Amino acid sequence: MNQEKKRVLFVDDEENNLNAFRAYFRKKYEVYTADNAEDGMRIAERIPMQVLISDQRMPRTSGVDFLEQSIRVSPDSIRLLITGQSDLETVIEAINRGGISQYIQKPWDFDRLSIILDNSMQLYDSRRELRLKNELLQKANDELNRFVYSVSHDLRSPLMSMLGLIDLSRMQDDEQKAKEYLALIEQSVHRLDHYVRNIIEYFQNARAAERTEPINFRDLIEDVIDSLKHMDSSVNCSAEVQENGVFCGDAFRLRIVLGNLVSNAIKYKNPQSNRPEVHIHVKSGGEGALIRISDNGIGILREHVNHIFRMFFRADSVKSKEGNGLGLYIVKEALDKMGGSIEVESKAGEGTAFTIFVPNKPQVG
Amino acid sequence: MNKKLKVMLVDDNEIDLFIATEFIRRRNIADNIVVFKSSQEGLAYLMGTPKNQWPDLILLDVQMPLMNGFDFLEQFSSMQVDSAISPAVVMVSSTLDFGDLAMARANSAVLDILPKPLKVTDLVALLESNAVI
Repeated sequence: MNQEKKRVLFVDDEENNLNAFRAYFRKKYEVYTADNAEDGMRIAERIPMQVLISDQRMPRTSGVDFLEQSIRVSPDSIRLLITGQSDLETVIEAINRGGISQYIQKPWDFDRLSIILDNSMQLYDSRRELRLKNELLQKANDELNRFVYSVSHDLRSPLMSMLGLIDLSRMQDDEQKAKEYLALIEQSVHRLDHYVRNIIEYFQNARAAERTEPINFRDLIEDVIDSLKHMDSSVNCSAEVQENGVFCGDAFRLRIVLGNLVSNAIKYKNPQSNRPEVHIHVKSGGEGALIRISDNGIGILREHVNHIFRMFFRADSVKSKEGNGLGLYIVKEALDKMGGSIEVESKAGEGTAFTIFVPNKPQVG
Repeated sequence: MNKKLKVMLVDDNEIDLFIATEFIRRRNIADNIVVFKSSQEGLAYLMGTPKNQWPDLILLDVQMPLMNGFDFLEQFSSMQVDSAISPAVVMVSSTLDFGDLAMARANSAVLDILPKPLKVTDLVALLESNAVI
């Protein structure tokens, strides 16, 4: 095994016991010893121990007191106490107060101690694993809570807008006004649809296994631009593709990434510009594909740049009505799955450029 | 009906701002409606306005990006220190999340939290029972 040796600290006021312990276990474990509780604490504070063993009877600080104090500095360690016979009260106290897993009766022998140590090391590992898994679950749970809160708002909000508009149009006889309300209802429908599509993408990205295939960037980009044309025909989309050899990647996720970035570029165009544009530049082959999507839109404020990939982050920009804080988060997640990376340069009022790198994954066989 | 109100609306959703404005206008309870698309814009307005010209009523959305309605209230209460003028605040939300409801009702500065879409009759009843109008 080339695994790191596990660490054990033995505290006993009898020098002979410490020496014998060290001699017996030093091949198997990284052994630390101390002949009093205070020194033992100093070691446990500095070095994380899998197992702490202490004799009960020591001058000044007893074994139970030492083990109890050690919980603070080394909560995960397995604690073992060595006590003489007929010391039942100490044992009960040790279990209740000192958090010990097991006591070892005097006189002890190395064979038995060795088995106990082995078990303790295993117990340590499984407890630790359990704790780490719990933390992951906790995190997933927190994310889910946030997700439900945001989703319930973002799904209901356009519906409630529509209800409000319907209420208004009931009181309205003027046909021109009614048409205005209908246009707003339509806007809300699009907003809701956009959100639902984002959620579907989010889950598809989280679940779907990565599938690589040869990518034709020209077709892919044309397809993406075609599907987004309806958003705003005043924005001019152009593309330049330089392909050097075959690039293999995950077409589904590339589409998610490009779709979200291009749709953002269109959505956040500069309304003052008389020539809003989006340019996509691809250079692919060999190591991977370098894709740059640049626009002359409203840009991102410097203080927001670091937050844009966070789930549900929305900047209150001039025109945030369709933003739901999921698009760029999904982009980032999809790139993570592909082993890619993304960088952003932006100047408020001038435009934004995203640069993506996706590694080439040539198919084997 | 007594004097007409100056009403301030804070909501990131432009359509909801439009709906609230239309309802309030129809009901004829306001002679002045000022509209803001974010907490920051609303706070900046209050900051730059003499307190005797502050709105009588603030209709405040809960969920907004960057600064939500509760963040707005926190900042706003620090602006109101040693001031006799305190506008009535009514929060509106499309979610009615339990946590939000509890938080809004625990806040003494908030008259109540109402569901979207805004029902102007509910709003008027609330304002009447609190002697705002």
